[in-house]
Amino acid sequence: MHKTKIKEHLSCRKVEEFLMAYLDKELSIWTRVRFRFHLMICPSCTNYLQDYNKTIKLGKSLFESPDVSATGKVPDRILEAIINCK
Amino acid sequence: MSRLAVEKELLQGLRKGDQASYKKLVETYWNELHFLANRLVTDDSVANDCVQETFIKAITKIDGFEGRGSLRAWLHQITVNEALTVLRKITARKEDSLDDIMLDFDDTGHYIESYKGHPVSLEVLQESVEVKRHLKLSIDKLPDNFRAVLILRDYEGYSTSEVAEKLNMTEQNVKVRLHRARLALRNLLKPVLREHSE
Repeated sequence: MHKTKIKEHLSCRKVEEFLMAYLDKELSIWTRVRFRFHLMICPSCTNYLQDYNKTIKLGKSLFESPDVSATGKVPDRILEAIINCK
Repeated sequence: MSRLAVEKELLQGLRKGDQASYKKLVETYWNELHFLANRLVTDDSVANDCVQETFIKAITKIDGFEGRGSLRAWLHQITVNEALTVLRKITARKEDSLDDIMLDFDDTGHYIESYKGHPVSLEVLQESVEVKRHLKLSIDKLPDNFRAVLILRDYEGYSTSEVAEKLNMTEQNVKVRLHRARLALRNLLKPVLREHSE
């Protein structure tokens, strides 16, 4: 699809604009069809969508199991302040 | 012991005012709450303050915790509120944009260079310590007002309308920022994705 635009087809820019609505299933049926058709013929946008999804899932997994070594032990003064807060 | 069983035991101790339970509460949840607060405020010491305040609020208001959700989810909510209070003061001073880390299109609306993608599995990436480190740094690099939307909506499970309310934005604005934050994050991750694809 790169630089071989057919007028009624979505451009790569439009695909990027519609990406979130596509994933949230908020596109109209016709736009969804055009979106999926574009993906079938455009490797760039297919790769783009795969990386986009990968990025979302990677972020989620990072927050589900954060690297505990990055934060480490609770500072003593904070622990003491919390334990004696009441 | 399962997470639910740990929470149940903790709650009993907290309601009795048992200091050993306070300590266990902090030791159990410190890392994940500090991680969350630190991603929102991007300052280790400010994150410490947010999480300290979270635990103090949780302990002093434990009788008001109705147990409809999990204790963990409640602690996450308090941490988010604490961190956003700090973030609002910072963000009120500036309104950053992501224009310098977005991809370019040509006049016909197509990529200036074709996007090749990174054929590496999600599992491989999830197991890489380097990817985790790079991802964390990349999230921290996003402007405050985009990072907060991304964290709340994608990672903390808030709905678009809840994020809009918390951040005092329209739902449309939340959607636009979320999309741009995801794209920017993906662009920031490109070097590490490329490295793992080779």
